[in-house]
Amino acid sequence: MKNLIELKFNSTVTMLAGYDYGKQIYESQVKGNLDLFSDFTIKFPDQIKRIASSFTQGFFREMVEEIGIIGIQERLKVISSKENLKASILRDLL
Amino acid sequence: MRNLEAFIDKNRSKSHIKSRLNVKNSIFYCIIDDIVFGQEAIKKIINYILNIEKKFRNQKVSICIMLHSDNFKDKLSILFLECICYYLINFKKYKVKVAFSIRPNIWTEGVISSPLMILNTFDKVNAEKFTGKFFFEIYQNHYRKLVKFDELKQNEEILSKVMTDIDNFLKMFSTSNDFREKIAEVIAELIGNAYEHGGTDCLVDIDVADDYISAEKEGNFYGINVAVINFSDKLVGSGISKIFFQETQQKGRYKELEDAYIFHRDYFDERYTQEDFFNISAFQHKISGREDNRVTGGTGLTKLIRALEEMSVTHKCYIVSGDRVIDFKKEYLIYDENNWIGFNKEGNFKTQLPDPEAIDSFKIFLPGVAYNLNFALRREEDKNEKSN
Repeated sequence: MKNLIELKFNSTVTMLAGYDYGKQIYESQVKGNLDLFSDFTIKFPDQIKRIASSFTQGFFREMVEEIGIIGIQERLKVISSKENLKASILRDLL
Repeated sequence: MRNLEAFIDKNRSKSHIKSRLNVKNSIFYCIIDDIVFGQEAIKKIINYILNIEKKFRNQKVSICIMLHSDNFKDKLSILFLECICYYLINFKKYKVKVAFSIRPNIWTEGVISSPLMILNTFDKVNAEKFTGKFFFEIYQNHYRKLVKFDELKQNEEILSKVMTDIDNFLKMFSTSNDFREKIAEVIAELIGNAYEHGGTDCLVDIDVADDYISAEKEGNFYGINVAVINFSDKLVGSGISKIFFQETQQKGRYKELEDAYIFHRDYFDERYTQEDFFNISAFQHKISGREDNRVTGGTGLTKLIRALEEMSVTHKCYIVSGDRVIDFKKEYLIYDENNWIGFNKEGNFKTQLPDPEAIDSFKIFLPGVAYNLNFALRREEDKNEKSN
């Protein structure tokens, strides 16, 4: 079984912002649907071209609590049209 | 707009000096003869209003604000005047007219699209149009939106939509992708801070001043001028200050903050105050004014602003909160290896004071936080020609 989540957003939205919105997306689309203790993949739709730090911090908050930033660094794979998204996510979490 | 009335109320004790009320044909004339319209002029207008309120309590009067100057200091000064007019029209139910001529420059061209332009008569219809434009406008080179706390609370996706809208708006101009995305992120984070920290609405205004030349530099330039204001009882450093003094045993980075405080407090005076210390603490990595200890854009924000300044030919960026100002000159936006920012050229927070140029006082009291972010950029076409 693929340990993968394809995130879905309103098609007119190309940028993501907001701590609470990040938390809400995690809770509604990710929580309980991913095994964080093995390698996992999060796919952002191609339309998303920038993610503000606040969204990243809200979205990954619970993950950081569960597996730590190191766990995220080791197990998370990000699929996105935006280059180096994983590196920028990790920078925002540090 | 939430808490706007506090902007006038908080200046009641601070600046209430009796001034002569100039009345003719039942119209109060507030004549401002400052050469440049800035904080001093705003203070005079507030003071004039307070005098009217004191003498004519509960009466609905007509007031004409006459500016002799045709030169606004910056974008934020324009927005402060708009907020005062909004207060007079919608809270006090006064009839308001603003008489001024304009000499726009790359920083203040936005005045042409300001809702103030509508207040050229006492007509009720114009006052209604002013209120509509105060809340929202996307027209030609002007983007404006009041992002309401209640709307964001109901639908948190709105912040992402606003960020996307700002990016789309700026696509109409010759802005690079990188600049556009970064400024959209800065603005979205400031709105988010107003929502999460201030629990309040946030007014955003952007204008693009196109096709300018410089006396000193070759080429064509354009300005991206942004002002973001929120009104609340939360000042930029007040949350951190509260947490800091509540905690008797500081840990981790807060212990380091305490060490810095012990060094800085010996130098507190009227030019560099304890409030300034906590204001600059709001931009430190992993130091938060929230009790859940979440970092809200602290270093991210200043790093983005510095990156935008580096892409600009020149810039004018600062924050006002309460009656204190931090100037965001890029030479002061330096972090050391442990992500502390000193607001000095050395990037030393712990054992050095911020540069005197980076900290200033403000003549009026702003309950909340306001940012003036003005950037002058070289047109992309000019850059390409230069590089070919």
